[in-house]
Amino acid sequence: MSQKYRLESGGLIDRNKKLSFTFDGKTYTGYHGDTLASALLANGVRLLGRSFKYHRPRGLIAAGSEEPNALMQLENGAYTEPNTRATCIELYDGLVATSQNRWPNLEHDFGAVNSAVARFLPAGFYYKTFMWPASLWMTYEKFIRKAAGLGVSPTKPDPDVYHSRYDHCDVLVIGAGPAGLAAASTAAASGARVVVVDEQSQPGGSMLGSKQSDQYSQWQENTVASLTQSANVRMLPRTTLTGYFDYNYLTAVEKVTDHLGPGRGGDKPRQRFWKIRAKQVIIAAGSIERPLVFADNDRPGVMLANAVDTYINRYGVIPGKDIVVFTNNDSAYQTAINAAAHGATVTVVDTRKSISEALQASLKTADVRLFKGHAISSVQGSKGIHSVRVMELSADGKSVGGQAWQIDCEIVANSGGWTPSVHMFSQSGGKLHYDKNIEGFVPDTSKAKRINPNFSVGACNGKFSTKDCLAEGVKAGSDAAAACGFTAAPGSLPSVDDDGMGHIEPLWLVPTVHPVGEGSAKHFHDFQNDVTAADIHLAAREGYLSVEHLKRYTTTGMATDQGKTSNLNALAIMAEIRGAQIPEVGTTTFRPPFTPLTFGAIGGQESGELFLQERHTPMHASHVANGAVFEDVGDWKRPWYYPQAGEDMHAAVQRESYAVRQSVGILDASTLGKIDIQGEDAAEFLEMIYTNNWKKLGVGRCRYGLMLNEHGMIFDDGVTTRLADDHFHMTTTTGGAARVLGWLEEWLQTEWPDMNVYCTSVTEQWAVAALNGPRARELLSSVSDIDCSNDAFPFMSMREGTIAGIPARVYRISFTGELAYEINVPARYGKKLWDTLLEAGKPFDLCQYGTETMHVVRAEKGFIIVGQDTDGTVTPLDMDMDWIVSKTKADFLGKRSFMRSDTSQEGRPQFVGLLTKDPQVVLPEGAHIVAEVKDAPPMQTLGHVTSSYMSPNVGRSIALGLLRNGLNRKGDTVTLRLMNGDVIEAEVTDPVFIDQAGERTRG
Amino acid sequence: MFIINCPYCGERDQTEFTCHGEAHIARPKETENLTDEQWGEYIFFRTNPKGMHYERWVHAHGCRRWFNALRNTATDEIFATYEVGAPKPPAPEKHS
Amino acid sequence: MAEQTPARISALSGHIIPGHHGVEGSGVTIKEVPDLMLWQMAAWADTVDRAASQVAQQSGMGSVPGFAAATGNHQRALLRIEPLKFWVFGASVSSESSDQSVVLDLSHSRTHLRLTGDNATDLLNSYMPIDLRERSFPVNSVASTAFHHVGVTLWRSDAGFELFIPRGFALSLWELLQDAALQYGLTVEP
Repeated sequence: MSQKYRLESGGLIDRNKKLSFTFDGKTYTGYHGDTLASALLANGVRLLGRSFKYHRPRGLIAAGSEEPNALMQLENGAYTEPNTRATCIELYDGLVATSQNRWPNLEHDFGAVNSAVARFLPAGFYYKTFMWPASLWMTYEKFIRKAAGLGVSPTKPDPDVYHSRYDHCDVLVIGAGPAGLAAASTAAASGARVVVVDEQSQPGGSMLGSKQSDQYSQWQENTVASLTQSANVRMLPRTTLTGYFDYNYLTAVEKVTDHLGPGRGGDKPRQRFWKIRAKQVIIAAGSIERPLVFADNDRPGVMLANAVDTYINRYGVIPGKDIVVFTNNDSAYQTAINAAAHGATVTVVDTRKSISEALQASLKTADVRLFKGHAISSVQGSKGIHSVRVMELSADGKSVGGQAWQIDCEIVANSGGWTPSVHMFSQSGGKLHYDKNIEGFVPDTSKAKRINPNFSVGACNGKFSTKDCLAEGVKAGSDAAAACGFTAAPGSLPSVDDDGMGHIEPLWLVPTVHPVGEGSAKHFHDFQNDVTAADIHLAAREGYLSVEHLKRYTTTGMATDQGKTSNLNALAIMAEIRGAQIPEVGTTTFRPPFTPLTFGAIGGQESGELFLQERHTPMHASHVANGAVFEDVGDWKRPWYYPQAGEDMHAAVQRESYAVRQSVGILDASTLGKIDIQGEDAAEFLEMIYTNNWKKLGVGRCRYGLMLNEHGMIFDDGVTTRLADDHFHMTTTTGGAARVLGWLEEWLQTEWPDMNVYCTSVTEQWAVAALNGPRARELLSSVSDIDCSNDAFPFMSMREGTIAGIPARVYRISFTGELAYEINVPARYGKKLWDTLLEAGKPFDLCQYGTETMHVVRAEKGFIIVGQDTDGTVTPLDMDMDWIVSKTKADFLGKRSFMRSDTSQEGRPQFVGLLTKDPQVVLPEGAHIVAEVKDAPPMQTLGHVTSSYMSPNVGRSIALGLLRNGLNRKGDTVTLRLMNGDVIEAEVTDPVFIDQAGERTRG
Repeated sequence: MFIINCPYCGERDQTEFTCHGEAHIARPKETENLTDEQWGEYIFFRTNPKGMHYERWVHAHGCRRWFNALRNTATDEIFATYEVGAPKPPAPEKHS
Repeated sequence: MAEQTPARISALSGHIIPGHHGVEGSGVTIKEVPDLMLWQMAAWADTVDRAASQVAQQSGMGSVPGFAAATGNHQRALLRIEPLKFWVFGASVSSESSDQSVVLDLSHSRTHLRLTGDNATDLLNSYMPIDLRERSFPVNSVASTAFHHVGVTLWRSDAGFELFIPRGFALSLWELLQDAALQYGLTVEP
């Protein structure tokens, strides 16, 4: 019969909606409202996976996100996702799950041999064994990764869409259990903006898995309804808080459509990543039941007591018909009574000798047998349990003795107490203190980080009774609202009288007839990382006493689990070994994420095509239509070259470069940085920014300028034009535009605030088409009302006019050494300008050219590109540009550094031309000029090639570079040694290869 | 991820800002009269405290104004933000 | 000007597809407002009051907004984008600088989108780390911030959110907006 462990009635499931799913290829059914875990349990499937290291059979331990064992490979193909917790997967029709870490299958796993040789796989095994030789680590690693493999990553692109967003609120409430709901409703009633995140599909927290009074149920229903309807409240179900960062910046993942099944979300994202900034945070994250550490406590069927309760109450599933409840505190009695009430045969084994009369009486009423002062000394069965042995505990709890009672059972429901979920408080930078009453760490609010104002309420604060949870929630809700400037009037609360965990007597390690580490039994405290009490003993023997060492040596508390069920047990066992108190051992730092999250969610919608923003010039559509191949320059998409039919890049660039010097070329120069500089002190300001003089520049005139940083190194360059006495138009390199604007503003605001100057980027305001070549004037004159004669419009000047009716500023400046005009028009006219010029240019053999040709032709003239021919270690003198450095100005940025011993020394790398002996050889950029060729590096380097091209206009290869003492070495032959071993000789020359007199550009 | 109280815009997200190191370092006057040591002190040397630090920030993606902040580099608590040119606010004696 | 200037071409030309996109319903409506007219006026600490009053009067605003605020409406407004810097929206300013202030035409430098609808804040918060709740960002609030690493300016006018994007980035940011809007139901107005 299917679902034979499903109860006849009860639970928050919809029995009218039957769902079909497969696990390891076998088909099962469950109901809407099930998790994959509850549905498997209903079908009696208890063996769900193999453990990480020993490949031991494992089943469910928990019902929530603390589950360490039941990690599933969910779905196939592109949708597959490894290591998903069966307890957190809402069942949908057609779900496909596969167990992990086993081969060939779950029942027969070869890796289980690890278990037989477990004595050879102790803590630190990998460190010890694979340490040497280091060169072999890469070899070892492959095998280790395979052997230790959990799930399998998808190999296809992620087909899902994700969304990431910011949100702001006054009060963020983490957890929608009693404490969280009380806090949220109190804060919300004050008018504060409240966000409530909760990892479950519906609010209620622990109460979803518990029996509730009618009064409480009514209160919860009303509270949730009111919160859901409030305009100032955002309820986020299926949302896990993943990280708590400074200034109350918290991240959460909302599983928006995961529960519908893969590919069924439509236009909604699969998951949403919330980046929430909260004025106040209320942590109501609850607590996690911790297992008792007893012999073979990892057998499938050993579960946490509250998980058994939750499966019964929330999912209508009884995990087994014969149940042993094993506990050291009162809370598990509720499980025993509940299970018995649902037809199970139940035995309670309590490690305590003294138990309250009321509890004993309640067991009697429920017909549950009780062993006081006893412990489970062994568990029988491997892929499932068939019985346990129970023996009497010694007074000190260190040994067992007397008669061994054998009790047949399928399920052991155990409770070692409750651990407050302090992860979020810990992530916020808060410190913890140990509360002996509850045997657990709780937030020490006196040691919270001040920039992260928060409250911990309810079970995560060590308050386990519902009454305390509600009271703390109301108080925090009110206080948090008040801190945001709102006044809260607490509403009415239901009366509840459970007492949470009740009394606890810790027993951190349950003894067996053998000492720990001897015999075949294993006492696990960390199921996910497969770490046992014996490993802690070993770590202690080998000196790894501090908690941080213990963690790394044994791997306890690591990975996706983050010590949810294991942390305190590990600390306590170490404390016992050291004879220390638990707080003396310390706590580890809990790290984000609380539970694993997908990279997809973090990336959000900004992935794939949308990952990197692109910047387009106003002429972009024309370039696309004209077949340009684009180059990325910063964010800009710039035409690189315009291949014609049958041309490769080399052919296209040679043709374009030739055309620029033979007829006329047109370049989209819109990307050049453009900065509008205005104010009465503008000229004075430029005097400080540039190395040369600006005060006497005439209106309408242009000048080339070099900017240095305070180290005297070249920082940027460009042409600046005086538009009016107090108004300049500066151009910068494409890549340096933002940096230069920031640089100008920095100096104006921080050093010279008395200067009346404003700098504004106008890069986006102007579209720029640069005409270069001997026929540029003819072309411009044919479309413009500007007098372009050499006298009326000389080199290095600007004229305003119209081009085909478009208002334009035309700058006669040149980056090619040819007659050239840079035509600036307002951006929305840019495409029209381009298309007009292309058409009008036909009679003049106008040729579109891209950035590669721009590089070639400027190199023919020895024009530098800052950032390519310079690298931040180069002064103007190194570049043989002392003609641009004013000798008369008292000061400018970087000037003083010229006098530094290093900058002024002889023989620094200096800018030269390089001509290879073989004119057909194009040197690779970056190639080193060496003092002496050797077979292999190291070789003393004298400099390197910064630019290198085949030049159609010079008729041979040309190169530029930096060479030690290069200015004095012109005519020398130097040797370059390439990466592939080739040796090339080149002559050191002047860097200007064409028109050294500069006549073409002025003509 | 900090919240930074821009003296002009109020509290805004750290992504809008960039930090530019130690504040209150004035560019020397008459630089040609400085020794190499004095000039070197200005261009190369900065403090790097664990604790209170006066530093320069710019609201690059906001109002583009430069300002100074007093921040504890160990806890990232920002005790004050103030306009360029304003005097250093005193560091609190006790701070977390 | 001697000749009639040719038609202006938007950075989004050919990329705006009017109609409904994404899930049912219309959570967000986006419209590109064409032919933006935007002038900048920057004054000095000792002249800002006079210069601002003057420009407010010229542009017909009457009153001068405080920092990070605007006066006017979605057709014509004065935005104070920095303590001493203003944007005149929907009108031009005499381009002659005075000793009180400097002015600059930025009309072509930005693409102007108007976002309206119940989910407009959700959409903007997909990219902007700004608290856009009515209480924190009421009508006529102005903020410059980062949108996918790009500096943009947002103004809440009487008509909705007015977003000014550097022209070169307009297409990329438009694609990002459109993508994130599908989940809310997007209406693109012609």
